Amino acid sequence: MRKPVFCRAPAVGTLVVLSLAAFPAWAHAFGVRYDLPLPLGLYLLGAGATVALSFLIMALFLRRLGRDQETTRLDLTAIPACSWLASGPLLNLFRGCSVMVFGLILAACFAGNPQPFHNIAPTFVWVIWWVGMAFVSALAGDLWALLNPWAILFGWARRRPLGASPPRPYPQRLGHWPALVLFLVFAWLELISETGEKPRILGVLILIYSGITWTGMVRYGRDAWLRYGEVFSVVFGLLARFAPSAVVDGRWVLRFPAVGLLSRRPVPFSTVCLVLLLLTTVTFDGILETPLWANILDWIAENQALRPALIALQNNGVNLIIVIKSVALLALPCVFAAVYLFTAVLIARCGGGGVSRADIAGYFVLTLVPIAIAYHLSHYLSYLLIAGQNIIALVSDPFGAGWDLFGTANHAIDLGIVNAKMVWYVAVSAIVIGHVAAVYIAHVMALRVFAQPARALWSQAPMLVLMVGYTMISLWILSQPVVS
Amino acid sequence: MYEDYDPCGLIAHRGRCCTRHSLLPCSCREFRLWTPAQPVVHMQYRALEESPGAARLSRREGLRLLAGAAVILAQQVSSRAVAAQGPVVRSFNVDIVQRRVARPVRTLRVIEGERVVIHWTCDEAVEMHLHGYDIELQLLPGTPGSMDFVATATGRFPINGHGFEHRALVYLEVLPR
Repeated sequence: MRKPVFCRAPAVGTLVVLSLAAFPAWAHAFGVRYDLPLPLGLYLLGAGATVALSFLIMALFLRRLGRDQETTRLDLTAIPACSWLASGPLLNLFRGCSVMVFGLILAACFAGNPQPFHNIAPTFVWVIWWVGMAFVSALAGDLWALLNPWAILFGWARRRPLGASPPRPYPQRLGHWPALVLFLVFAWLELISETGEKPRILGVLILIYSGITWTGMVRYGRDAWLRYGEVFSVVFGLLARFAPSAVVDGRWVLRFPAVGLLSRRPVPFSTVCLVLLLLTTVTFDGILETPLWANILDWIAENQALRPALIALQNNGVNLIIVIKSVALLALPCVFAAVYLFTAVLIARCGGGGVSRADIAGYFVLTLVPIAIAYHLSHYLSYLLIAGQNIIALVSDPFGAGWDLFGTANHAIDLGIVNAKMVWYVAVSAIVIGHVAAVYIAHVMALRVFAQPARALWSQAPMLVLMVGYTMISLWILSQPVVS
Repeated sequence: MYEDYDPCGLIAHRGRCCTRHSLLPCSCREFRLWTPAQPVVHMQYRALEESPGAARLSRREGLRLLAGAAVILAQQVSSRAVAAQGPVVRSFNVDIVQRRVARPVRTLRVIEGERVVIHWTCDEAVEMHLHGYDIELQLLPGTPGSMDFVATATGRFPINGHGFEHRALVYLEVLPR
């Protein structure tokens, strides 16, 4: 039965078409979130715990507790089950599967149903892979390093002589800038543009990115490009530094979470910027759904000074919301960076000098990562569990052609899979734990960077203020009702 | 038969919005400026003259819902007399005038497991959509309609009028027990 269709009157149709020409937009590329705002009691509890635990950690460090957890490791390859899991043939099987999935997604992009929700590609890429892989990286380990299909395919191709010139050394001054630019483009596609959910466009984007990646690998060698230019290796690798398992000297080891974020040397400025951009985009996604953002949009819409320019833009077919969000996406990292660099100056001053400000910024930027991971987890948990269920139906009908391979094609989403209470408790716990990990790691770094322990502790006062502030922003966003 | 006439891409949009994968957003995020010269866009219910069945259906629905409302009223009265037999019923009245909710009811709050009845009226023809639960309701001017369901899943669910302005008209919040 066909339902009746509403249509706007043709007289105003043209005007409407102008502003509705673009597709309806929604946050993080795909699907909507149905999260309830955090209740006030839990919000206050989280905030109180954050502040109290911060001071507790400081007190513990005053007594010089807890050093050298970095080297405490458990060798997983000594355990038979784990060593079997990490054996060569099995790893090659995983790699083969990854390449097959990559092929399937590309095929679905071009040969499958052009509607986003009848094609496996958009759900797989945006929900399962992007959100899911970030979870796995942060909570388990750097799985992407194993499964990266671009790296695997390049490795296979390299076994045969290509006739290409040997790779040149990667110019160090480029640092992480290529990854930063690529990440900015990716974040824009994910959070702002709505085109990335269309299978055909997604396919073209994947092909373009494959071209960039393989060009980089041919030019600078596979490993150099994976370290500096392949943005997903860089980003998942960053998140995986928090993870409790890692590959160290060819052995798969279990370690304390977050110790991977401790570094011996300060990271270069390009890495500082990349980390700050990563932190901002995680928060930005949440801010776009708060009433605050809705009020900002209202203010812009009603602002008489901006109005003529905006009307002119709108009449030229520009999608205003995209312009406004893009400006915000560029501005917010600058605000974050300014606040962080100012904090770095204060840390250098409180720490008693001897270390340059640029080095301070490079030493401490990674210590903020646990807070971002905690927020990411809280923000996306129910999204992954609810929107991710789409994949159950889609594996049976990946091309949207009416197949039912595994008998799950008509699987309906079960909204009841996560209860709001569970999400709240997980969210607040994650945020408090993430904050504690961050404060702890920063203290260890301070003792390492500054010669005098007393000055090292004092240097953490500004960092503590920054971290409490950052954690409060996360909690505050979670306590806001989602406004679409 | 309707596919030929679709000046605003609503068909493609609906295809995404209300099919078996129903966790989909609606056109609730468009951001536009209303210039004083720009008339308020009114929608025409074209299907009325083309398929009278739809109108009859909603009239029948309206009657059924009126009956339903009476039953609910009776239930509420009786539930006060007899201590809570069956789920608690929460009923709300939401009137939409000029694409806005007449009284400032922005959020309807219920507790998980309660039965929810939302009575709607609207001064123009529109299809209301409760996301998540994915309940759709055709409304005609002057004819009330209602949604009636048990709030089994917790969450905050937007309710939109298809084709209305960017924001959700009302949110339904189902709080955990």
